[in-house]
Amino acid sequence: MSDLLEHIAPTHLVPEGHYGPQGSAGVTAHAVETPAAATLVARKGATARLIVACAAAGLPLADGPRVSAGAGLEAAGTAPGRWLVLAEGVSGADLVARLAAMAPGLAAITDQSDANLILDISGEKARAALAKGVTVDLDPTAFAAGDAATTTVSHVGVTFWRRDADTYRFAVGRSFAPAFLRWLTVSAAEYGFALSGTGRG
Amino acid sequence: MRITCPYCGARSSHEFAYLGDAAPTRPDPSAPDAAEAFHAYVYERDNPAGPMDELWYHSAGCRRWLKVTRDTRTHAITAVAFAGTGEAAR
Repeated sequence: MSDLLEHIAPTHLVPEGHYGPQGSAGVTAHAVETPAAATLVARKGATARLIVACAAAGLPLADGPRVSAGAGLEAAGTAPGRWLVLAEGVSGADLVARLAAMAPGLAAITDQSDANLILDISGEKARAALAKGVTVDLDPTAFAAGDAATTTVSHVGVTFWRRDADTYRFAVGRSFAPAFLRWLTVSAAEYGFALSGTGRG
Repeated sequence: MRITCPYCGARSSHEFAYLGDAAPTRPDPSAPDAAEAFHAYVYERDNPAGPMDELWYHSAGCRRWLKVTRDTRTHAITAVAFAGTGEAAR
């Protein structure tokens, strides 16, 4: 399998293209045009009030490893009182300002735009490919749409969640993204792997 | 070995960093026997064969300290909780 990546520099993203047997792709991955991102961390003792304030502003936060959407935002729980929030079509500064206005004085908010590569992974063999490195049970009865997890895959720390029945969204630290994509490419190639959004690598 | 984190759920022990016995508590440095108490706190450890409370850090997950009750003979884990209490655990 390793000869698959022989001509791809380990310091670059895997270039977009089709890997593995020709024909239809069992696994599809798309690097999403970087959305704005921020961490939302409740102040000490303020988790419950933060959840109430965000719900009133249209973003229903779950105090658990789950993802919720509302008010044009997507929030994944990463730890007690801690969320990674994504927003498309706005700047990082705008996202921070919006969150600060939703929960004045209740949370520490840090711009994380550009910190992560956001990768949407889907396809009928997506779960089979992910199972080669994800040590979280991905069976739909254990990890349903809306569930999130922060874990390591091939020694790389990731936060990922199941957006819907078909799509997993991964947030991978940008400087680790080449290593993660190499793992994903060799894991998914046997099913036919279509990668897009990474350009020429 | 899998540890069921109260927040993240069942995870491989590879995601955690091990500290050790959860029993020692930091002595009062102003007490008259502070030197002896700190020696015991730093160096003296029990080595039980059986259930033991230990501190584990979920470094690759929610980054919270956990108190894990593990049987040192079988690795069976009977209880896991946040090491702090209430929101102090956060």
